[in-house]
Amino acid sequence: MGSKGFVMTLDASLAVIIMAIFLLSFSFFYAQIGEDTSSLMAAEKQANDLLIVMDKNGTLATLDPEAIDGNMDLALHEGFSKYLEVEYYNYSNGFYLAGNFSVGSNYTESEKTVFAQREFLVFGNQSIKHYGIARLRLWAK
Amino acid sequence: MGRRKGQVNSGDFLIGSILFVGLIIFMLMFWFVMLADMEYGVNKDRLEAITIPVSDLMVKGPGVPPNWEENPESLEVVGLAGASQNVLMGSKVRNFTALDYEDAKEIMGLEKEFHFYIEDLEGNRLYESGNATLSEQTISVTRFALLEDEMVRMRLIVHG
Repeated sequence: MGSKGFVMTLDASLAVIIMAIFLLSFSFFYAQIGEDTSSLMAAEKQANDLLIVMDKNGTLATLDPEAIDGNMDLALHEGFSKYLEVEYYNYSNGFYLAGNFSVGSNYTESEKTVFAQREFLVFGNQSIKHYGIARLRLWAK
Repeated sequence: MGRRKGQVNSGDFLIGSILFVGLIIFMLMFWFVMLADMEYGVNKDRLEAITIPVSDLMVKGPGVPPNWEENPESLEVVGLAGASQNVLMGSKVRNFTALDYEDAKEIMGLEKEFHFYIEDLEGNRLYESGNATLSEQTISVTRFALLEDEMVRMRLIVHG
């Protein structure tokens, strides 16, 4: 009798363990598949676009943190935090850092952060005054 | 003695059956809810796989043929940019938004419905076309570009 009970308990335990493993595995793979990557891809496109457009309309070349910040705030009104770093260099037998600034929220390591970078030129007196690099991070608020 | 054993076994069997059926019902519900969610996710991925490349074509390419704005009926591949990526040509945008809806869908390679608009950064709509009655499943892609020297927001929404 006791032996029978033991066998049945073992059977039940095995069945429960196997079922639990099955459900956990399925949940795990489901969570992997269900991860929403669309917003990330779209955000990356937006970050790249933003730098391209701010380069082409001359906003980056102003090297004015307030103008750049204002322009980005106007464009990104939907649910994004941003952090932009700008470095600009002079060239004279090599590149020398002439200045840098950053605008936006403090950057936090977030899994859902996208990154874009753009090199741009600043002209003055019909010649190249600075070589700039803008690095933009966007993440969901 | 035989009857008592039979009664105990019946009770065990009943409890076991109830637990078993309950478990089966739970697993089936879990399974079908997950399948429905996965189907939703796969459909969303499919929409996304179309929407983002089409939006890329629109803001980065001039279209095929490149001067299609001179003869909108010749348009084979959509593109709204002029000589430079992310710089849209007003004439292309005007002609694209004036296209017949079904023709525009075909040119964009879309089987689903779409809604397209361009607005300035204050949110004023400058150009708009497509079906604005959105279905439950929707993918919206926002892009930035220059249009007549102004920064604009272009949004392509694919739904259905």
